[in-house]
Amino acid sequence: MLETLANVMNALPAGTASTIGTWVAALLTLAVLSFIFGENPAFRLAEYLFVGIAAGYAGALAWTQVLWPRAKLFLANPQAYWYYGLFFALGLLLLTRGVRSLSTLGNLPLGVLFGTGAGLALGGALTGSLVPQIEASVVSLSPADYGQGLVGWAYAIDAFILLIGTIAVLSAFHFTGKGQGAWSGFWHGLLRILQGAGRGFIMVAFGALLAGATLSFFAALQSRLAFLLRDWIKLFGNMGL
Amino acid sequence: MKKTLPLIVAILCGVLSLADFIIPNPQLDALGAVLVEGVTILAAFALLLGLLNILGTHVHRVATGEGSRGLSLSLILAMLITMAVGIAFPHSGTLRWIFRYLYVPLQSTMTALLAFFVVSAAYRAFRLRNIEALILLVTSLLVLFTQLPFVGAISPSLAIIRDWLMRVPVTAATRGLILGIALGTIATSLRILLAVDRPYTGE
Repeated sequence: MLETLANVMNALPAGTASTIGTWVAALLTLAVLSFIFGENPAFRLAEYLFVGIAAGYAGALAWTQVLWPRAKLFLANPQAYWYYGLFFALGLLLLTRGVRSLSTLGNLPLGVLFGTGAGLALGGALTGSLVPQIEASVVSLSPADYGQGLVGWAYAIDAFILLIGTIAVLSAFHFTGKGQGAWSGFWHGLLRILQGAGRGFIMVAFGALLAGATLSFFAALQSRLAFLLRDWIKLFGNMGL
Repeated sequence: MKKTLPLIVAILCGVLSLADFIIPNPQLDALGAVLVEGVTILAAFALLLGLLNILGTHVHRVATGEGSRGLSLSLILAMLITMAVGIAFPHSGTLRWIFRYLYVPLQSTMTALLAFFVVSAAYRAFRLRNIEALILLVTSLLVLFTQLPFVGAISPSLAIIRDWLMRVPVTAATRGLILGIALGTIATSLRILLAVDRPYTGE
């Protein structure tokens, strides 16, 4: 059946597949954009189709790019690639997670997934985030290290703001109650000031991110409208309308 | 045995992959590579499990009439046809057609729809009228408007302020957030490696 479908697609006159495709793409674009006026059947159909196509495409990629090439290696040379056999067996055990009575069999592959994932995440967080970011935060606050006169002072103030900002943002996620000691009130007050400043820094960063995200969403909207007005409307002209 | 074996395997795999990170050793490198390959295969199987779950849910809906039968049927057909074409003819024009005329328009229009949501969400956030909302509003408007070519021509100092904001306060906040995320990741990973959390046994 699939071969017939592929043959039909290939046998179509030149340009027919792209014309049908443009019509389908335009109708789907309009169906999704119709959500601006509220929930409606056209949007819901587009939504379900999107989930179905995305899931099917991901499944096809998982098979053709990950599973099948490794299965072929294992079948061709089981001695050299024995571990692929082992992980395929674990993968089949993982599928039992979908059957309630057998779901405990899926614990073993999940243990491999979570254990390896935790080890990789721990190593990655240490070597890829924590150490480099701390290294980058250790900067000189002396104006002489940056240049003469006002320029040196300006860079030193920037370095100071960078350092204080980092500490303030980290303290914004520090949630503890007031302690009992003599210095507790002082530290608690200082922490509250830092937390306020940290939230301010976070808002600046979120503001910049919001602007970037808004720009990219509008760029996507512009590209879809350009498609409708350029590629789709052009088809009406080709039909003599 | 149902819980002990996965526990031992999880700790062993975690310690081995962590050791591969820290200790430079060819045997550990090879073992680490095998584990990464294994996790790649298991992640693909996890994806298939997710697809089976979606399929099961919607087949059940079609069979029982729960929800909308037609929509569930369209999802099932879209999924099966795409998957079948993708597996049987991975380099065919048919798969390219599905990707170009179905997947890309749907995905990019869904993203485009977020333009309306983000404006509406921003409006609601700005109505809160506190100092944090004001900082968010001023920063986002400054970054947005300084992208426009004529704003730079009218007032070059606005672009300088934007560059300073991106270079200093935004970097400081991002660095603080990255450090916080890294500390959270380390804490969560250690809880799994020390078997305090056992998500693989449902505990």
